[in-house]
Amino acid sequence: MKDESKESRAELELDFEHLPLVVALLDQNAHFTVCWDDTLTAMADQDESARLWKVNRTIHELVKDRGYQVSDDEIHMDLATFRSHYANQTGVVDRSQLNFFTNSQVNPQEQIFIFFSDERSVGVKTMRKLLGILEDKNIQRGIIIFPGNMTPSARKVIVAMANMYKLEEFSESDLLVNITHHTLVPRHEVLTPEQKKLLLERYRLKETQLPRIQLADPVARYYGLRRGQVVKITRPSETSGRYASYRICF
Amino acid sequence: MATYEDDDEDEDEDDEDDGYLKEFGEDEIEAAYASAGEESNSEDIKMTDADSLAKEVSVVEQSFIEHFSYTTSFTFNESGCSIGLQVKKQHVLTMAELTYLQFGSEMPKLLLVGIVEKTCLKTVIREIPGITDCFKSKEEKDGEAVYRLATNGSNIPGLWQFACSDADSLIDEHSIQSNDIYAILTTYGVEAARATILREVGGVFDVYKIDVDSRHLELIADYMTFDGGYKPFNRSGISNNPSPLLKASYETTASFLSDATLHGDFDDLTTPSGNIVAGRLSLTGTGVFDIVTPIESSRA
Repeated sequence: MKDESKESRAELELDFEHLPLVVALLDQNAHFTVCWDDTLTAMADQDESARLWKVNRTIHELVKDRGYQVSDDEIHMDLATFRSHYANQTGVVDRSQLNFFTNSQVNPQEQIFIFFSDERSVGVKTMRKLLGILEDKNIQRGIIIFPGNMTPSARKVIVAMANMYKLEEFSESDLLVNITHHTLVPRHEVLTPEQKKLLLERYRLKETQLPRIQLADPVARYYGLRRGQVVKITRPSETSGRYASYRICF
Repeated sequence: MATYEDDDEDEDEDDEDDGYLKEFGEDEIEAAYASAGEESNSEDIKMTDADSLAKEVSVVEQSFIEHFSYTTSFTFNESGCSIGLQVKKQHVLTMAELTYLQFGSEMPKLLLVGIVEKTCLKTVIREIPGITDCFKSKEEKDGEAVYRLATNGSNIPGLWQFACSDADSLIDEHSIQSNDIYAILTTYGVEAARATILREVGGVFDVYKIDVDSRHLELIADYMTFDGGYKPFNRSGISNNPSPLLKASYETTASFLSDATLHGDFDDLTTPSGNIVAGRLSLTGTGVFDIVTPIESSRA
C-alpha cells in the first residue's frame, strides 16, 4: 500500500509539467487564456520585428553621428514601413536585407559596411563571410550586429584583422536603445588629432593628465573610439550653464 | 508620457539576504519558462481558432489522464471545466463536487490549492528578471500627469527589451535612472555614471536639508570617474596612489606607513599632502613658482 501511494505521488509531480496549461484552461474568471503555439510564434515575430526596427534606427543614428552620410528617411522610418520593406508574409524580418554601407561626409572614399548576422551565435564562419564582403567591396570598416552572442574565436578574428580592417561588434540588445539620447548622457564629440594637439598645448597637459574613458565604455563603443582619441563632453552645469570637459580613451 | 525610475534597495541584513538568495534561485529555475512567458505579449489573447482550442484540450486531456490515473474524464469548454475522478470505482465526481470529495485512506492527498499556487508560480506571463517589486507614483508636471515607477532590483538591458517590444514604448527609455551606479556605468557610460553619483550623493544631503555646493559633489564625482571606471572615494580608493605620505595623512596612518616601510616605498614629495607632512611649500597655487626680483646693488 505504502509503495503504491509513493508511486502516485511521483506521477503527480510529473503532472506539473502540463499543469500550467490545465490551470490556465480552468481559470475562466480572470479572462486569461492560453497562448497557443502559433499565436506565440506570431507574437514573437512581431516583437522581433519591432526590436529590429529599433536596432536599425539606432545603427543608422550611430553611423550618422560618426560622420557618415545617412538620409533622414532611414532614421525616421516608422514601424509599418519597416515591416513592409523588410518582413516577409509571415512577419519574419530577413536580416540580410538590412545590410548597408555608406560613405564618410568628410572623405567620400572612406566607407563603412554594416552587417546583420542571421546566426544567433557568431562564429569564425560568419566573420569570414563578412570579411569576404568587405574584400569584394573594398571597404576597410565594418560593424557586425548579431542577435545572440559572439564566440571568443570570432573576437580573435577582429583583433587579428585589426591592421587591415577596422571591425566592431554590437549585440542587437546593445542597440535597442540609443544611449546617447538618454537624459543623463551629455553630448560627446570626438576630437580630430589636430584638435587634440591644440587642446593639450592650450592647457599644457600631458595625455595622462586628462580624465579617461574606457575603450569598452558604451559611449566610447558608440563613437568607435580608438586608444588615444579624445572626446569633448559638453555637460550641463548648475553654476555656468554648460561647460566642456574632455576624456581620453584609454 | 510615463517615466521610469529604477530604484533598488540594498538588502544588508542577514536574514533578508537568505530570502533574497532563495528567491533568486527560484527565479533561475523559472528562467526556462520566462523566455516563453516574455514573448507572450498580451494577457488577453482572444481565441481565434476553435480547432486549435479543441486540439489543445485533447492534448491536455490525454496527458492529464495519462499522468493522473484517477481521472476518468476531462472536459473543457467556455463555461467551465470538469474532471471526473474515480474513487473506489463507484463514485465519479465533477470539479464542483470536489470540495465534498471523500477519498479512501490509501489515496495520496490531492490538494488543489497547493498545486494551483505552485503552477501559478511556475507560469510566468511576463517578467523582467531581477526586478521583484514595482511601485507607481504620480507627479503633476505642467498640468500633465507623469507616472514614475520605482522598482526593487535593477535590470536595465531587461527594461530595454521590455520597452522595445512595440512601436510605442510603455516606458520612456531615455529617462531611466538607477542608484546602481555600476549598472549605469556599464549601460550608459561613464558620464551618466558621474551624473548618477552627483544625483545620489546630492539626494542623501537633500533629505537632511544639508546645503552642499554642487561644486564639492562635482569634484567627488570627477575624482571617482577619473579612470573611466568608478572607484571608491575612501582609503581603499586612494590605495593605489604612489605617495605613501598622502595615503597616511588620510586614514589608518599606521597601516599605510608600515606597508610603505615593508615595501621600501618612498615619497617624491610632489603631492600636497606629502609637502605639508614634510613642512615644505606645496607645489600648487602660489607655491608653483618662485619670485626673482632684481636687487639694485648699493654701489650704483
